[in-house]
Amino acid sequence: MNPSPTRNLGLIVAFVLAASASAAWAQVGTLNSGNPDLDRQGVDAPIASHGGKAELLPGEPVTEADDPVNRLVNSETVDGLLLTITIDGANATLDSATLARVPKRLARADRDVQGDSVEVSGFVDGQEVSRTVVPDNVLNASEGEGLVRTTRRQIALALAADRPLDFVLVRAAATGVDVSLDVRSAYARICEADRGSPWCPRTAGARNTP
Amino acid sequence: MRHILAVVVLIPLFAGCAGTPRLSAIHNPLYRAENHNSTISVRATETRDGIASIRIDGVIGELTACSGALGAIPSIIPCRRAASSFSAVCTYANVKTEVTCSLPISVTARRLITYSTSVRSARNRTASSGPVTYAGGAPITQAPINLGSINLTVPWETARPVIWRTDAPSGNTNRADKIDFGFVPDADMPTYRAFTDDMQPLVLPLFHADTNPYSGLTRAFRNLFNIWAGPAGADGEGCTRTFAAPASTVRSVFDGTVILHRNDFRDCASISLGGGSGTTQTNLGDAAWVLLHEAGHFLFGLGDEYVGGGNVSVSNPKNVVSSKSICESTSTTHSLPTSQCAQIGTSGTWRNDDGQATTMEDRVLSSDWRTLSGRAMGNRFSACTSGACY
Repeated sequence: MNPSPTRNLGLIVAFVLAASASAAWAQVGTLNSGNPDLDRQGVDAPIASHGGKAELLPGEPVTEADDPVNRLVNSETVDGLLLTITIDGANATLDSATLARVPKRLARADRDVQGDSVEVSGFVDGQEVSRTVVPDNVLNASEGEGLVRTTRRQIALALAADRPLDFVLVRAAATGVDVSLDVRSAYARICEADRGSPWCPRTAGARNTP
Repeated sequence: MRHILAVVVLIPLFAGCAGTPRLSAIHNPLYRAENHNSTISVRATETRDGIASIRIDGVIGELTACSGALGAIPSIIPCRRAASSFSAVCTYANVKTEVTCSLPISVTARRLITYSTSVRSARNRTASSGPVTYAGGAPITQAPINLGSINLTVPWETARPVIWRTDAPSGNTNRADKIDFGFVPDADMPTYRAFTDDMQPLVLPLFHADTNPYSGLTRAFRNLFNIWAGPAGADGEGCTRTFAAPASTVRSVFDGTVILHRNDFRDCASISLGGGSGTTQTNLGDAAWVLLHEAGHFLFGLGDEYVGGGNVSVSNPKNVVSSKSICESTSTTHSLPTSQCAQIGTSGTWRNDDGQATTMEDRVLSSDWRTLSGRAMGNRFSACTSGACY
């Protein structure tokens, strides 16, 4: 029996619709947790080996305040700046300054970094309000080649600051660096949006470099 | 240091106590910045009484930059919103061979997942693993800032947790008891997926699945390490390492950063503690060993102990010193035979050499952390357990 063209078209349409429905089911219906909220989160049914029984217990919403990750981050970070600085001999230039919550553990002046180090201090109204120390990556081990001393290197650091800094003072004894850098660019986006923001610096941006 | 060594010896002894269940938990894949299927797998064994149950508890939600609340500025360390708790329980008929309980998760954009696991034997003996948090799916690229009358959106990337040990904070002290080890792709990586694919076989043997001596110490002390992935922007070539945004910003929160690359160039690392960086070529047969050797430089301040290497150290104690007399006094301080002090070739630098393969000298998987380098690693781990790795 030869089906009519109309019937063929009908079969094709029906097949396409069925395939589409099947594909949609495959995309959203593969989860089988039995819990709509966990389905939405992508959690599927667990699987036990050795003929064991596996069960997904009902989940509950977790508020942002109760979320253990948020509590951890809140307790271990403070307002501050993330700085990337290139040091070349006795010169230092600012690559980037970003206003961010920064880890407290990094924004300390008593870190045990040994060897050559870079000390960075943040100033407001001429007063030092923050300091940290990071390793100065001058000494490098090049495999099969030996010790390589780099005069041009890049350092990255976190500096705690609960108010806008005017400038940072960078000191690296290994190559005689003693340079101040204007970091007000970190606050530019906020200041452009709201000149009354407490994150807008009120004073000049750098001391006179010696 | 002796305490550390005692712990290394005792961990397997306690683990082998009859009646005490053993468990290991890991998610797979470790990290992907795209939609994928992730599986949290727990393996448990108790050969005397058998395993009765395994439990996986967790929280899943949307990764954020912790901003959006009034006056809050974004964070590089991520937060979570719109989260739900979950608990999976697998029960067994007191099976005495290794059992597994797996939880599949369909990971979509900006997921942040935390899980902790526990196991119970037929006689109610228990073991558990602390919470691990990992990210997956497309990362965030911007963050809101709420200034009250004005809302602002800024371009933003967070660090991407691969294995983030998110135990509850204790007390009010600054928690610096983990080594935050960052991985970023080199400019020569063909895709970000290639980078995450290459990262997995490096991280797993160093911290989880391996039997070679070289990774014994990092596996024993895996709980002291957080593993993070960072975004693109890094470029390594020999000892020149540059970081452009966003990698440069994210890298600021790591204690050490490795640039993973595929092109063939001489790997190099800073000899530093708490903020250095290095490179590792991922398509080498022993890439995980190479990574650990480089991390010996940029995370632990160790010098090369082979002839022709970077024979300088800033570790505590230094594993490479500038004279025989310093080697002898350092060895005495650390209960090592002074007779083992040997010059590294004709470099004028010295080390304590017991004749066995050691990871800062010998490129073999049977190497480990010995004499002064072993003491330095132990001291760093002790500093971590005291609350300040650096």
